[in-house]
This record gives sequence, structure tokens and C-alpha cells, in this order.
Amino acid sequence: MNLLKILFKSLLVLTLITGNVLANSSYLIRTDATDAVKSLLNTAKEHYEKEEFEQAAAILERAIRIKPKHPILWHNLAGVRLAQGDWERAASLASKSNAIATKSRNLKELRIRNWVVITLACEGMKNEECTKEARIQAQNLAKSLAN
Amino acid sequence: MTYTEANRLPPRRRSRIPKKRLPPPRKKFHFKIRWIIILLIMIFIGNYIGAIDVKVREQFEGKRWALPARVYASPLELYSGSNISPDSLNIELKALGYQYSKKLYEIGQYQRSKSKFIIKTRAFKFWDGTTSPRKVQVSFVGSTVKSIIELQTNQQIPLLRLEPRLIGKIYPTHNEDRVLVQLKNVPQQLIDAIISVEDRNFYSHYGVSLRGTIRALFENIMSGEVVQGGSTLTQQLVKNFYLTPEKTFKRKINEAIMSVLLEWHYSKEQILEAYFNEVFLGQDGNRAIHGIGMAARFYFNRSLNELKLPQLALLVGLIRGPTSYNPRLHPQIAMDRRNMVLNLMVQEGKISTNESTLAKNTALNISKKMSEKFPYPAFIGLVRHQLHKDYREEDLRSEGLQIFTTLNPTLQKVGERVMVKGLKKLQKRHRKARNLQGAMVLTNVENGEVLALVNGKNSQYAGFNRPLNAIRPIGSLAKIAVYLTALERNKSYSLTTMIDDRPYKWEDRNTGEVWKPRNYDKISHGRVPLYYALSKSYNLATVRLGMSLGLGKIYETLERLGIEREFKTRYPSMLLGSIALSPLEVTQMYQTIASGGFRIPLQAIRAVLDHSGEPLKHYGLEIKKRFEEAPVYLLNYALRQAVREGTGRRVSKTLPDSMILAGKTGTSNDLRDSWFAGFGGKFLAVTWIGRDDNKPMGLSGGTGAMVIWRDLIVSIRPKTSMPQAPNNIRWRKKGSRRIPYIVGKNQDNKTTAENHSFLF
Repeated sequence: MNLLKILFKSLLVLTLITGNVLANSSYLIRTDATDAVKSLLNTAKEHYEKEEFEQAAAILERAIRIKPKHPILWHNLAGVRLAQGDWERAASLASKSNAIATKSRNLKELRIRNWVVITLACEGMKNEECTKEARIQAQNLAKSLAN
Repeated sequence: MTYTEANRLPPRRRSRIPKKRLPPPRKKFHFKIRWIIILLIMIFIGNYIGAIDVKVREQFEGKRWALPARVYASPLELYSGSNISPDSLNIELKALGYQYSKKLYEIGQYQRSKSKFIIKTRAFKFWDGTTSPRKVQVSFVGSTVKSIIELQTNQQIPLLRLEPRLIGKIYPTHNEDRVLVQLKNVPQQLIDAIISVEDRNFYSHYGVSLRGTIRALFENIMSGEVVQGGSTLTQQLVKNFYLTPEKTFKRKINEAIMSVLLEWHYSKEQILEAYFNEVFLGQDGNRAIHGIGMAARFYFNRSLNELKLPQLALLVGLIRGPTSYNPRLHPQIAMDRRNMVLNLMVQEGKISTNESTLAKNTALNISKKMSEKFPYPAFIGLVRHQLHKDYREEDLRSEGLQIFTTLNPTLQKVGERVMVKGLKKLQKRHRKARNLQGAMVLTNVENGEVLALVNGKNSQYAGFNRPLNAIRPIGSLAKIAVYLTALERNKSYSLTTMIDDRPYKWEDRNTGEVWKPRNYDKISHGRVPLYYALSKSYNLATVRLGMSLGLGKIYETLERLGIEREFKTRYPSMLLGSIALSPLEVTQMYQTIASGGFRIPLQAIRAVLDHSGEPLKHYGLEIKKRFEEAPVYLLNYALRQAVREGTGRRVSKTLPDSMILAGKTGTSNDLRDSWFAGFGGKFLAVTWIGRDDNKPMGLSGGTGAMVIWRDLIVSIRPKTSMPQAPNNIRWRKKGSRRIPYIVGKNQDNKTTAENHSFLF
């Protein structure tokens, strides 16, 4: 478990440093929540994998109606918009996820992921300043997690 | 034509000349003219038929019917842990036309024992997937769903989405109402019945049937009444579909030609399907009920595939005369007619005598006439307003679009009740408050969905749509723009920065007019902490603060908050809310604050499907980060103080202490407009009270609009919690209270704020 975590982190840091990573399904996280939200997350994932992005988004929005303070739902929605190349919306959604992800340690990984989404979205918008800032946030957070 | 004739005739003449004598010129002329006339007639008929043929095909293959758009409310989602009382579910099921039944035979029925429901649910196609029909058991503990079990498999299901309520229609200009059906979804017994009664040779004739006409005549004479019509189904379809109702010989000929052409081009199945969708089956005020699908809804409040033999027979019986056999007006005549249809079906060998007897013993079971006055004209107005950005009026009226909206009928009902009672109460309490009107907008803070929209004290009133169009000065509601602009400059301003509330004077350089604002209590309060000035809504402090920040900056903040309206001239009085906005615009502005600095456009529509259920457009959640979280967090603190200790102090005494609520009162000059915008949990509500004639009515934001807002909050009891503090917020003790401050930049790797965010 620990090894996996370290691997994940180093991978993330690597992608952050090398930058430019294509959006892939790893931005969708599955999670344990209420059964309703869980089943919707699974359905969203199925759509996402079939590249039915708008469907996936609709399902995630449905889940958000049920559990609006669930940061993973917002994160995943950000991931879907990122995959669609809807950069500005992806970045805003990831910020929203971060705004409701409590500072507890187990959500730190999610926050890193959100900063990665923002980094990629800023890259997509060709906004160097915002890319740089988001990357620094992600790296700092990754470092603090490693400590 | 003359060209052809010239070409053809000369050779003939040549060949004849040598053998015979020339015939007398006159005879030859006769011979020629006869052929020409015949030819002309043929061409004329050919042209005529050709023209009819084009018409027949164009109309049959093109868009055949103008279909009204159908507007749906937000569907009820049930899941383990969802908060809904068993009684509310009961109300919802009834509203959806589910029948309470001791035994569950059919889809659309349910049983209930106190806290347990067994429901045979219907299928429904949503934008993001189809709900399949299931037999489920929903159990409650108190007002919470405990479990949902699918009874076929005996397995828990995580989520059950009921079909949504139909809340409105946008009609074609001729007011025809219709739900299209496909032949494959038409019960066989309906086809059997219609063929037994209307056209026994349907499958063998070519559009017109002499045999059928003669037999119908004979049988009608024998029975002494009109039992059967002489026209084939095809002729009936042609009559209704292509022709005007006048009875002339020419029309009769056209009808026959068109019938044959229709049969020539199309299959029996296609013709039958068109017939089922065209047939006229009733009149409801100025709304014409067309097609068997709509008739099933109109008479039984069910979908066609839920109908059984006796009901199907009744519908077929209606075809001859929807008015004379109207089952609501003449139940006995309708019943006799139905039974006769059943007899004919037995006679034709389509059903057994037993089936017929059983069906004859069934009551008519006509549903109570559903009022076609849809109950939410104001909300539908908002839906149309938003749809016009993407669709033409013409398409809304004719394409049969299915529009899925965000309206929550339960909350809408609560909102309407609160408004009606509240306005009465206020008129009783305040002598000057007469002819009050009001508006209320309730939204979901998280996604900007409009949950309820209340227009005045009469919810059925379809006139002036106040939430959208009552554009009124917003008074102190505008102050958040001033304070947020200040708080964004966190190096210069904090919640406890002392600001100046001394008298202020401004002179218009162009006109020389002098503006001297005053506080509501007509007292100046000297130097006061920033948060206190906002919570007490001090005018002088706000104007001084706003002027030092710069008017331009405040307008910019308003725009970032989501106000799209342009203001031509810029006066300092706007700092105190001389600008006029609609309740909806105010809601948009406060939505950005309630969501923590994210601009989320208000939405009334989730998705649009075409008539057959194909997805057209999904209105996804729009979101844009417009403000840093920390300044909004501080503003929210001040707005909580406004509710509990400031201008909302008196009214909020009756709100439970545990509720964490933020909001702002607003009052315009001479007490013409009373506003309140407030939020807690996932709800944001804006209320406005005033008079349609814009006269003073004696209520301030705190004594008027907030009372109604409070009643709403008490009724919907939102689950509230403290907003989560961003990383760069630190709480510090100032005297007896703890106040949040912005410390440095929002750096994500610092976690020291962790516990403080839960302290108050």
C-alpha cells in the first residue's frame, strides 16, 4: 500500500515536471460514498471510457445534486471537461473541488490531482503564468505529502 | 402539344392519299378534334392527379403534425438516505397518475402500508439514460428512505428515479394537442377493434371499398342507426389529413383519388399508424385532442400501452362522434357504444364472448379531467425565456420537444404558500401596506438551478412575470459589491478595519445638484468596524468606502458578480442601490457569493430531447471562478452577522440558532421596495415585496421581504454548515468575538488553518 502511494506520488511529480500529459481515465476516481452516488460514479465512468463525455457529465451533475459537498464528484466532472478540451470550465471545476476538499490528509491526493487538472487546463489555454502557478501548487503539495 | 400533333399527322396523311379519296374536310376535322380533346383531358387528369400525388406524398413524408413542446419538472430521485416523507412520495405518485390498488396487476399502480410502498414503475427516457419499468419496494424510517428493493430479483437498488411531472406545454398556434405513437407500441386489440368497427376490409382494399360502402349502408338500414361508416380508414385519414371539412362532390372525388394514391405509395402499416395519430377524439376548451396517444392521456391519464380491452374499445367507439359519445358528459351512451364495439369484435372473431362479457362488466374508469391550466406560468415563462436563446418560437410550438427543467414542485408549492400567507400577514400588521405584491426566487447554491419561482399572491396569474421583469432599485443589496471590493484588497482592508460613518456630501459637477445621503436611523455613527457597517447597513460608511475605492471598481465587481445589464450613467447613489434589477438578476448576483466566489449562471433547463426521445441538448453545469475564496469567505462572515445581529436581528430571532444563514436586507427610497437575499445550506432565496404601481408601501427589507424569506427557511429547514475556510484564513480573537482574517496567499501546502474553520 505504502509502496503504491510512493509510486503514485513520484509518478505525479514526474508528470508535473515533464508537463504536458494527455488527459486519460486516471482523472476519474472511484470512491465509496452513498450507494446512490457510487452507482452514478460507476455509470459516469462507463460513459467516460466510451468517450461519451456529455453523458458522463450529466451523470456526475446528477450525483452532485444528491451530494453537492462531495469533492470527488467535482474533480471527476473537471476531468470530463478536461477530456473535452473545455479548459476554463475544467479549471473552475477543479478549483471548486479544492474549495470543498477539507484539509484532512486523505484528501490531499485529491487536491494534488485537482492542481494537475488546473495545470493541464492552463496549458490548454496557453496561459503560462497560470500553468506555472498551478504546477508549483501541485509540486508543493506533493512534497508535503511525501514528508 | 401542337408540336407533337404536327409531328405525328403528316405521315399518316401521306400513306392514305394514294388509296382513298380525300374524306370531306369537316369529317377529318372531327376525327382530329376528338383525339385532341381526349388527349387534353388525359393530360389534364394526369396533371391533376400528379399534383395531388405530390401533395399526398409531401405531406405524408414531411413533418406531418405540429406537436406541442412538453415541459417537465425535476424528477424525484429516491435512494437510501434521501429525505422525503412517505406522504410526500404518496403525493408525488398521485401527481404522476399512479393508481392506488389492492393488487398490483399493471404498470402505474402502487400499494402503501404506512411506511412501505410497493410500486410498479413506468419506463421513462431521460437525457442521460432510460428508467426501465420495475416492481420495487420503498421502505421508510420516519422521513428518510431506508431501502429500495427490486422485487423480481430481491436486490437492493441504489437509486430510483421516477418519471418527472409534466408541468407545461407550448402549443402550436392551432392548439392541437397530440402525443405521437408508433404502430409497434399500439396494442393489437386496438387495431382489431378499429378494423372490426371502421373498416373490415382494410387489409384487402386499395383505398376505397365499394363492398364496404354497400355493406355499411345495408347494416345501418338493418339496425336503424349509423353503426358503420362507409369510408375506409384510408379515406377517413385522407379526409382529416388533407382536406377541408366541406362536403362537395369535388372533395369526394379528391378523397377517392388521394386514398388510392396513399395506398399505392405506402404500406397498410404506415397508413394505420398515421390514422392513429391523426384521428380526432375530443375537445377540451380550445384544445383539440388528436391521436390515440393523447386520447389515452386525456380520458384515462395513462399511456396507451397501459390501457386494457374495455378502455381501448371505448376509444374506438369515440371515433364516430367524440362529442356525442363523450364519456364524461354521457357515460351511459359512451358505455353502450363501447359495448357495441365489443360485440362487433366478437362478431369478427377478434375476441371471445368471455373476454367481451368481462370487458362489458368493467366500469368506464374515466380519469378526473386534468386541468390543462398548468400551474406554474411564471416558471414556464423563465423556461421559454431561456429556450429562446437556442430555439425559434416556431420550433418550440411545433417540434414536440421534451424540455427537462429544474423546477422542484414540492418547494414551489411551499414557496407559493409562504408568499400568499406572508403577504396577508404583512398587510394585516402594517397599516400602510396595501396591494402588496411579491416575487421569490429559490435556487440551488451549488449548481445554479432554479428550484422555485413565485410570482405574486396568485400563482395561476400568467400576466406580468415579476421575478423576471419587475426591475426595481435594489437598495442596500448593492452594498456587497462595495465591501467585497474592499475585502479583495486584503492589504488595506480587513473585517475589523475602522471605516468612517460621518456625514457625506457629493456635488454633481454638471448640474450642481448636491447629494447628501443619510443613514436609515438618520444618525451618523462615527468610526465603525467594516463588518459592522455592512451588517448594520450603514449608508454613510458605505458611500465613503465606495468612493475611496472608486465607482468604476464597484461597477466592475458588480459585473464579476454576474450582472450583465449595462448602466449608462454612473452615480455615487448606486453605492446605496439606486440601480434597478430584477429579482432574478439579484439572485444571480448573490449566487456568486453563496457559492464561494464561483459564478454559476442560473439555469431552469437541464436538457432538451426531441419528440421521440433522442437527446438534443444538455445544459451542463457552467461555472467560472470569479473571486478568490478568502475575500468571499470574509464577506460571508459579515452577511451572517447581518442576519443574526444586524438588520435581520429581529426577524432571525425566530430562526433556530443552529442554522447558519447569511443574507442582506435591501430597501429603496420611500419604502417602495423591500428586498431580502439570503442563503444557507444548499439554498439561496431572494424575496422582493412592493406594489405593481410602485407606490410606497411602508415596509423595509427587514420588516417585509425578510419575513417571507424567514417563513420559507422555516418551512424548508435547510441543513446548514459552516463554509470551509480557505488555507489563508486565520481566526483571531477580537474582544469577545472570533473574526477571520486573510493571511498571505492561498498556499495549498499549509494546513494550519485546519481546525479553526470549525470554530465560531
